[in-house]
Amino acid sequence: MEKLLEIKNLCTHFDSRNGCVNAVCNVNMDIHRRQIIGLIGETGCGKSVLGQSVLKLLPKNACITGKILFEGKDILKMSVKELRAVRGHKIAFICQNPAEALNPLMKNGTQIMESVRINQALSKKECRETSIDLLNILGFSEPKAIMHKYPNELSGGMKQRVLAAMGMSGYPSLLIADEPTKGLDAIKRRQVIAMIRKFTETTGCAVLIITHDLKFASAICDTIAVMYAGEIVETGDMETLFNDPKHPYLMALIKSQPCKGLNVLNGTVCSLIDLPSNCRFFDRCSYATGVCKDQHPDLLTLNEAHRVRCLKYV
Amino acid sequence: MKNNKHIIIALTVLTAILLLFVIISPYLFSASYDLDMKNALQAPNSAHLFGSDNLGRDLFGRSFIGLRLSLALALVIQITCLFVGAIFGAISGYYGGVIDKVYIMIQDVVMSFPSLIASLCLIAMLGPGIHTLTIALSCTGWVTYARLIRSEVVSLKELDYIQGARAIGASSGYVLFRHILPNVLRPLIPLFTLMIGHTVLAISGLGFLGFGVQPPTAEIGLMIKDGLTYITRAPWMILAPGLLLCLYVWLFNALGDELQEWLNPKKDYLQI
Amino acid sequence: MFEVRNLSKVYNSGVIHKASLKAVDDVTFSVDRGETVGIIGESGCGKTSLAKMVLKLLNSSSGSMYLNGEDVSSIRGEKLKSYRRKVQIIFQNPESSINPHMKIYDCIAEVLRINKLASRKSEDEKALINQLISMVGLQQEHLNRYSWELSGGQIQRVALSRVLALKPELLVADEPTSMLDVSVQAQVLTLLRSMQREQGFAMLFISHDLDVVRVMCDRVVVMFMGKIVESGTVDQVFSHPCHNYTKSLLEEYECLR
Repeated sequence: MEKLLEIKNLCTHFDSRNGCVNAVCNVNMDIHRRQIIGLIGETGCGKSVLGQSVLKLLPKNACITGKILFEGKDILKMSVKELRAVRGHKIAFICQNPAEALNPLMKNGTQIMESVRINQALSKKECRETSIDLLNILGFSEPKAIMHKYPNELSGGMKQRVLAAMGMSGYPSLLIADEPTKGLDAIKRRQVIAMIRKFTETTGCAVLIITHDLKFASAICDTIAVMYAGEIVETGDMETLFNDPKHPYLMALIKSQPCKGLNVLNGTVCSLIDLPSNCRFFDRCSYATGVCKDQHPDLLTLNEAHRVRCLKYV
Repeated sequence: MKNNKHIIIALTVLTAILLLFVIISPYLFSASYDLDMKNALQAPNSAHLFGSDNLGRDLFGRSFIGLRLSLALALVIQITCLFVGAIFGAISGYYGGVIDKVYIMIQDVVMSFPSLIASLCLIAMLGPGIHTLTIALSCTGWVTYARLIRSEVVSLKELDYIQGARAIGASSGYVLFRHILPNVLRPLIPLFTLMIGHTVLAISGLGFLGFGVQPPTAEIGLMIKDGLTYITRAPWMILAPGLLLCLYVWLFNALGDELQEWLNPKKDYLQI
Repeated sequence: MFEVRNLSKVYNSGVIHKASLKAVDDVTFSVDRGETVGIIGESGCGKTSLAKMVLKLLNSSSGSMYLNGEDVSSIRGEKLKSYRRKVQIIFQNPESSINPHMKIYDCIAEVLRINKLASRKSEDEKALINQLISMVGLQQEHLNRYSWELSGGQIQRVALSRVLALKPELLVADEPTSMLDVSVQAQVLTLLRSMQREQGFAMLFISHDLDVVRVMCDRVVVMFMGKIVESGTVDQVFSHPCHNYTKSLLEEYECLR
């Protein structure tokens, strides 16, 4: 499969009042066409920042270094015009809080058509038809009725899907979804899964799902990457990772789920300002040895697709 | 963030220095009270930085003295408005129901009158003077605060921690004063600074029209009015009070703007 | 110990074209001492309105509530204050459950002062607060911070410490971990369970996450569109659901195992 996005040595840091916050450190990741890859981690591990760095959607005090090659071109070196052509059109981003992202004074149809028109040069009639198509793909049974309603007449799950329609209006080759199931109940979660599956089947786009919800990730992703304190600590395909996790963090995360015993992982993440020079998971790791106190592990390749950052396997 | 802080500090220092000048002006510029008919209507020179008026008084010093009164009045008026507005806004916003409906009616009536015209009418009824000026401007000014405070209270009272405070047994009064009002008043500080500048202008305007402070008290509006009579012979008479008024109103506006930006910053997204 | 009979809440809106929404429709259930009853249902089914009515933060349109046999449907004044001490709540969203302008020390002290358990800035107050934070696993350094300096899990612990100060008989937990990461969720849920065992309060656990409900609750009540459609012990409802809605909920749950 051809590579769509190649992230090489990506580092993102923020200049804050308390010092330099290293949100993302030396991340290497590849996304292939039609691949659904999940980025898992706790709040504050840098996964959202990574997603936003791909499209340079960060505040002014952020600094991104490294390379992000999309279809061969480096996004970080693109001009304003080139970046605008990529954003929304080739790479779409669906943010966390859909409720606040829709304009309450405009009808849903107007908003979707607006984003369709920006991404594709179509006549008004064609825009409307495209919008109705998109709503159909996303599981709405009466798309025309939804087009005429205002956002406040829809439930939270529906707003999420309208926003997704706007994001997908350019028929992007890569969709980045940031915590699409945060705060949603099981039924809505299933709707989101169905929506993403249908969209990828219809358009063949790749999806990067950023989430902390293990169940959701296991239900939809082919490949998983686990992040901790700004680094990727394990990658591999979903079956392998969930049935036979190698990194102690992933093992602890799986065991802390209610259905797997509610085993508590004590402690909190290390500070992103004063990063330790040894393994970042050291103080919370139940498999830690003397070596882990001094060395910082590199990403090891265990087999073809499975890589882990842990001194246990050296 | 950093740039903004420096600007705020610079503006605050500047305002503080000039305020100090204004406060000690009667003592600093005590000479400007003296009439000196021999040196009347003198153009700006070394003795009188901005010239002298028709009665020989130093315009530079007199402007500061005039501004002192305006600023003190503006402060009193704004504090009264804030106080009255906070009470009306908080109570009607928190309790809702009939109280709120009655308050909205009162608010609509007061707001339907343009504030300057309403003040003029009130002063005309009560007779011109400092006290009636204060009453008139307070009566029209409280609605600005009340309206904002009410809408903030209405949105805040549904927040979890407010409900939580009620759940642990706090009385309504405690919830209002300990939790709601501090959160509401914080964002009003920039508005307060802005409104002081606005009120100084209003006082000067009313003084110019003859409805505010009465002569021989020094007041910017009155000075500009006097200056108009002599505009062909001594155009510098309106220069000193006018410039000083502009400087102060601009300072308060700028400070208010920067404070607003600092306290409620809008994140600057998109690096490009 | 705690009983709800035929409780309803109707929201009316509009003057000319009156529209009414029945958020809670004729709900009846009970909670025994020390027991955990789960309320499950999707968002918008009336769970939060029910929680607020139980806490008397919202007036019910009809129906009655009983605490220890006494009718508490329309109590006021001192009786209401004493009711409030016995029934407490933990909210869903950590970001808005604590006043962001108050230090954590003051947030917890506030509970003690309002209920006259300790006087302001006294030694008693400090001792009580230290005891409370050690129960929930926080440290001294957290007392001097503001809520926005703490993580979601830590804020939920602070909320729990405030609640435990009053030694309630019934704790309503309104989706306390739905906004938290899975690892933090484990910490908070384990803490809730151990506190319940220690202090012996009953819990009304509202959630849409069936995994969590299965682990935390003894009995469960299923809500749909404001009505209770099924109730029973966790084993009964999860293995032999009767109502269609319960069946579809469990299908979603099984799918993602």
